[in-house]
Amino acid sequence: MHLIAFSRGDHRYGIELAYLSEIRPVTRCTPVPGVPPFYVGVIHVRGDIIAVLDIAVLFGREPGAAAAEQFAIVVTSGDITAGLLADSVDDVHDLLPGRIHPPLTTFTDRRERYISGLSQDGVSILDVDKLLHDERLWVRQEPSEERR
Amino acid sequence: MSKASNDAKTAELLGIDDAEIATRRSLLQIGPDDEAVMSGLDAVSRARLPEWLNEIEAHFRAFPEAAAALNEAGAVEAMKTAQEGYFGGLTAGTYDEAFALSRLSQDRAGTSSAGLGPQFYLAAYSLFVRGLLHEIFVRYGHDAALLGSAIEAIVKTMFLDFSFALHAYVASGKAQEEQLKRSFIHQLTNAAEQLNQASLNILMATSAQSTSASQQAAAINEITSTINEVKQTSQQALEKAHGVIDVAERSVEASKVGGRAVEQSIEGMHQIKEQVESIAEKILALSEQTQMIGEIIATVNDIAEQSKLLALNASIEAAKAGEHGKGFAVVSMEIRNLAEQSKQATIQVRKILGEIQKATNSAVIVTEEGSKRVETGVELANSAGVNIHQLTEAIEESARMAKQIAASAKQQSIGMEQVSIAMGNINKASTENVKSIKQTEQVSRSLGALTGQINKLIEEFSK
Repeated sequence: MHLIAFSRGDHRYGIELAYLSEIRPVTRCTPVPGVPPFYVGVIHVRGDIIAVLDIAVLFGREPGAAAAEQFAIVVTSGDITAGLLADSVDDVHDLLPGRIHPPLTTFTDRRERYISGLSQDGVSILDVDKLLHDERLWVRQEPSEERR
Repeated sequence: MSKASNDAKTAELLGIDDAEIATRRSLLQIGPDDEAVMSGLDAVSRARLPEWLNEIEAHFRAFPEAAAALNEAGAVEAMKTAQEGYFGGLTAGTYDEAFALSRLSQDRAGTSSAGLGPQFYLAAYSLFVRGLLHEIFVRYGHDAALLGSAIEAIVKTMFLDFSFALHAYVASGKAQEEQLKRSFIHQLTNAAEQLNQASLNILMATSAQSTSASQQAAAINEITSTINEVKQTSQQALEKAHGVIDVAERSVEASKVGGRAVEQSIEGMHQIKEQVESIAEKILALSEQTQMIGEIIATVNDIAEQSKLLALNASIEAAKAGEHGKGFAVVSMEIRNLAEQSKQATIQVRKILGEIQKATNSAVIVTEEGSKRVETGVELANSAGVNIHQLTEAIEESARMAKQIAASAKQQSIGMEQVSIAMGNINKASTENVKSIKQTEQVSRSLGALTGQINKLIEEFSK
């Protein structure tokens, strides 16, 4: 199983390569008014407008000081594409499925919903399908237009 | 003492008493007949006397000595009155002690009171006797015996009278001699007294003079030693002044050298300042260049970042490609490593650049400080130059003053030499003065001895 790991705040997260389309530097992120605080803003990616989410804010963790250079991990699930804010990006990891542990039962909040497992070196593997398709996270104004 | 008692005393001294009168009468053989003849002539004599007195006066005036005496106020009348009494008394006819005392006490023919000698007395007597004899010849010329007895009586009486006059003259001479002796002794005593007093005065004066002369000698000695001290002092002042002149000349030379050194150091400071300024400019240029290097490095860093990201994306694509992308994954890994190395290199370069910039900044600050210090140094050197110049002037001024002091000291030395010579002369003079004072003292002592001898003589003489 191929993973890409990135860090945001004081925590590390992992994403399966299958969801990953590209990693790009966040040079200009345009903030959007009237949205929940985990929406950092929107960026241009070759003609498309993509929303950028901050996992640390979504999980109620300490976001820490913003790094000098931040990245957007662009992920796709079905017809939904979004960017996840990252402070730094590790190389591609090749993990055996046996080395992934199920999430801790103590996760009772949003983390339980969006984390599919934990690697031995403490990387939380995100469930991109659940994260992108949870309608509770959507902004309900012209959703069809937004999704595209 | 009255004249009568004086004459009585004289008569007593001469031993004229009744016995003496009697002796004289018997020697001249004067008897009662003679006395009778004389009293018989009394009227005639007194009648003719004024005429005779006029003759005497006229005769006396022929002699300058008598004429001078008679020219005194009232002298003629006094003489005539005295002559009238004297010549009138001759024909009294009684020639006893009373007569003798009368003759002794009277002025002899008025000549004594006029201060005329016995020769005038005899001249007056002669004229009187001539007149009287003429009257006798007229009266008794017819009777030779009578005439003879009359002449005899006149001659006898005349000689008796002369004996008294002679006695009077002798007595008068003795009295005069006594008077002269007394006066002489008195004057001699006075002179001796004055001489004694004078010699005492001289003694006192010489002793006072002697004291002051010894004081003067002591003072001269003190002055002489003081002059010697002053001479030594002025000699020392002269030497010191010469020393000051030497030192001042050397100091002027040294300060000139110092002034040149200060000018050279100012020049050197200016050169240092220029060099420091040029160093500062070069360092600033270097700093700008390092900034440019920093910009270039930033670009290189960006490129490395982008390469790294590209490599990451490439490795993602390679992973997605599965088995076919494995070789590409290795290449992308190598690229990513290179990019990482480039980034590390840029970090190092940036670090070094930061240090270089810090170093250049501090170098710029240091050079600015150096420039400021050079300016301060130039100011200090300038003020040192001014000070040295002033010092030179002051030293030259003191050298001039020292020369004046030397000249003054020389003049003082010469003046002191002259004063010393003068003091020597004064010393000699005072020594001689002391000698002469000693001689004067001796003389005044012998004067005192002399007055003692004179006093002894006076005592003997007064006995």
